[in-house]
Amino acid sequence: MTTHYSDNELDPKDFLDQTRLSRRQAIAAGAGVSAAAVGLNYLSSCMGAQTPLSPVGDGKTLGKSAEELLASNLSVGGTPRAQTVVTDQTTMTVFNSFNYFIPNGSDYFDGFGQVCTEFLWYLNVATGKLVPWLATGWEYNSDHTQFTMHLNPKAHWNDGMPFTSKDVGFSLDMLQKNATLLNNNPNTTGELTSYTTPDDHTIVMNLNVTDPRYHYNYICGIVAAFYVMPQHIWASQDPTSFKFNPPIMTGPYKLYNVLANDLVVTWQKDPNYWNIANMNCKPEFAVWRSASTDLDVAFEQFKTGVTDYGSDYTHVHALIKGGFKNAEILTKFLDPCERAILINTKSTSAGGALKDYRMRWVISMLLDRERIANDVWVPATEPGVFPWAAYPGNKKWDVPSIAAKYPLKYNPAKAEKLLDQIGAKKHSNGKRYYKGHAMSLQVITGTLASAGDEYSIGQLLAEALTKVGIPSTVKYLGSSVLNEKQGTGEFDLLSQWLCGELIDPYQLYYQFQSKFALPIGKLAANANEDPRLTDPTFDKAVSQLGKLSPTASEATPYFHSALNRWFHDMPAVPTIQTLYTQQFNTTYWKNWPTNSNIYTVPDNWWGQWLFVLGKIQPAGGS
Amino acid sequence: MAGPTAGGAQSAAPAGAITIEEIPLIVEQGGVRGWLGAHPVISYLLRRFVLYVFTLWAAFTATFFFFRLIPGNPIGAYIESLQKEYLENASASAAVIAHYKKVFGLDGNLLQQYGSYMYQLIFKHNMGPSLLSYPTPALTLVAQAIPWTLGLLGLATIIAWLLGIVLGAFAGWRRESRISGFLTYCALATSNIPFFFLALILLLFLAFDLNWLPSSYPYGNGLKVGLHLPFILSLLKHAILPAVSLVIVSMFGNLLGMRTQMITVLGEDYLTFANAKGLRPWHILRRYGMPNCYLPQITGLMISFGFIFNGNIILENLFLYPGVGHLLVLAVGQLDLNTMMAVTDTSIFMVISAVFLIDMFLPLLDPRIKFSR
Repeated sequence: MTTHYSDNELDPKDFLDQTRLSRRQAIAAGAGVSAAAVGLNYLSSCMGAQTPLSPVGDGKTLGKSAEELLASNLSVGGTPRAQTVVTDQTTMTVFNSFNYFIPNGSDYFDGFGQVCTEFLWYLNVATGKLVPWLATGWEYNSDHTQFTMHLNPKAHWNDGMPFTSKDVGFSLDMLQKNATLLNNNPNTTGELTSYTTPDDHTIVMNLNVTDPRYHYNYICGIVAAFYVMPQHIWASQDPTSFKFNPPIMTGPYKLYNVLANDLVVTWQKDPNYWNIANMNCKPEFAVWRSASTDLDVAFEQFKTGVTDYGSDYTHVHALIKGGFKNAEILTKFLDPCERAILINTKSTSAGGALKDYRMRWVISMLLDRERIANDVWVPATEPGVFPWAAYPGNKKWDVPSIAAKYPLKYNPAKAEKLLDQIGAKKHSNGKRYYKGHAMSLQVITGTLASAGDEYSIGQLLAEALTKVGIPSTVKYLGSSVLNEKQGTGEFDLLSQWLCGELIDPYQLYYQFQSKFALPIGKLAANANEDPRLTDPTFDKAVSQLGKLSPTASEATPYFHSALNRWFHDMPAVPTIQTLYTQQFNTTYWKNWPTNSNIYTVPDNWWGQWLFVLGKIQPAGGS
Repeated sequence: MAGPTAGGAQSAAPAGAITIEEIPLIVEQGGVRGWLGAHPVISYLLRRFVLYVFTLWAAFTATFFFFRLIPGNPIGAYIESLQKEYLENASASAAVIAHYKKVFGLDGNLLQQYGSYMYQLIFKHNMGPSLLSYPTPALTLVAQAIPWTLGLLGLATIIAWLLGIVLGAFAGWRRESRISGFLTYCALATSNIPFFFLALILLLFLAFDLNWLPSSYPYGNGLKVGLHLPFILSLLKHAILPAVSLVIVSMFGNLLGMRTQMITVLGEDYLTFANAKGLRPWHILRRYGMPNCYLPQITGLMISFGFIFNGNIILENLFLYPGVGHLLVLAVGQLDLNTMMAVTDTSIFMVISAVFLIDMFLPLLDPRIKFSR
């Protein structure tokens, strides 16, 4: 029987006849598809597409979810969980390079600078004491123009090669020959005229100036310091392009693997670590991973033990309040930088009122530090009194009699009187005028309103200024714009932070000297240069201080006069001590820093984090 | 009496007079114009090529000035971010910033920067180093990312196109059938769903709930890229979700286009004639119907190929596919101007080149299209 089809109707048999492949055609088609797949794969390979720059991880490793990993007792690095300490960090972007000296040559928070790299000395900020490490000691000649450094003869690189003065000399030479390398401190290399290495463990450096603080350059104070690189590896390389992968340093851990898919870098304990007798870290593996940017996800992973260090104060505080036993919060760690309002002393806004030091004191009197410390900052912190962090080691620099003379107190009534005194009178419209100009100011900040912090501090100040008759606003600026505005002096007030002092206050005062006060429009190099302060009296005290050892008794009066003058000038107004919390999970590891003993500074991106890993012990949890 | 004016010469001629129509004098042109007039194909190619080069120059110039509108100093911001983390000594910053501004082509005024940029681009084929992976050239980063984009989006585009035209041809040919109706309604609904929305749904069910397929990245951890089975299988497995989300949406878009084309040719005489000859319907569809619908589809495919080099920004970031779109997002995040421009200019080059190639080859595909002025 024949079936009839209409004009545009398909005959199924005809369709099959037309589309049926012969065996040869099928083989050819299969070969074609395979060739295409292979070709694309080859294309990927030959064009070097192996290393994606920066995917964002979701907490999975080797195809397993976080829960599956825990069930199989694996860490996010694929290592045994009970032998691994896992640290959360922000999103890493560099996975194939460990070069400190070029842009994006390394991520500073992936463990490389914390457990693989070591420094000559470490500063224990909590106690103010120096910890000799790769170096054992130093001495100066009588006029502080020659600096001799003694190295630890036991130290060696992870590949077994000895760590010697030749490595230190090579690293200095490399920086001197390549002035534009990053992490090239001109105080280290610029003052160095020559050096000699009388033996493998001594280096004598000749300086072109009197510098009793030259050794500061070699101390890991905040995050890092002078990097000594292995000559036997770097000598044959171009430091402006070398990837240094895998890295060879002297630290207790070596690179184990990099899981770029999951943004995880894993370090393994070096059994031949030179200082294992003094510091035998218990974790076999140390993992740094990029935490989820979603706070809830990061918290869940902290709670379930995917990570040992991470999450945020609010979540973990609530967890502990709810009876969770395996978490601790450290609430005694202060950042070295107080929050502060930096004032552009050359600003022409408001009739140039900010050029008058009394107007800068008006700003100080309008900052309600108690409110900021208790209501804005979480958890509550202390108002700032001196222009440095309230570390026990810094107590020796506090001069209460000077602080009493310049109280950093909220006092709007006194601020109004001071405004009247300088001629910034209030008109009938409720607004103040200075030298014929209606006064108004703007506070800029690099912190988004949603993130709080510096934006909120700026907001409170703007409101207080408006109340006393100086209409003011606060404005968030993206990093590149903020950098340009603050660097070129195109701002009035900047809600940010005040950094500088770490070992002695000279470090802070140094950059407020008149020689760094560039004209408006010219880019200042450092945030402390942004106020563009010019005060010869202050300069004189700082200059004298620079020639004296900070521990010399003759330096004390200069310290006092510099502090006195700095307060008088008020180029940057301290607001609060910056309290940051640290959250630890104690399921797998215990003996974390506590409020009674923070060990050193437990920030997981500082070089000193090494000592935290040296202290923690297995908790036996699972 | 005044003589006839130019406009009224003929109307003023007396009745019965013989009028000789003036034939315009053909003056043979010599030189280049004459030669080009005698070689219309070469003339066409030349004109297209000049237009192509001009369009490229204009687009590159616009891109350059567009990116320079971004306020601030990217290098200063980068160095300052290091300072904030105490990784760069402040005293050294001015010299370092000046050095890197020069390295990244950001020194001098805007015109100097433009001159240097165009010189490097045209004569050295160099768009400067990337900030993301310094000192790797920005173009190398783009070249490293293109295979991923091409592998994913290129294959997905081809698959979607093939399926779209086959199903579209069928839906048009049998437009009264239930299957055709079903396909058409599906296409109308699906082709307007944003592909990333579909991708999110697929991710939710197939990756997160059922855990059947990986949610991100082009291949599994620990695998070395190369010609070995575990890598190829992993590559294919990781490509399924992003490719499927793209194929479904694009396929239905192509289906609708092809269906519309097919319906317009159904009543053509040559189909009636083919039918009268007794040819089988499938043969008529394949040999007479579809070839007359290809043209707009091929044009669309070629332009899609050009746009592939944009990388699909949302898709690549959703699935963490390290292609061109993902690279662009990273570059924007770090204000890496060189890489941003390398991605944009590569895409511009590919789109404009694709259009140029279409202009060149369409006459070969369809004899009805002729080279003309």
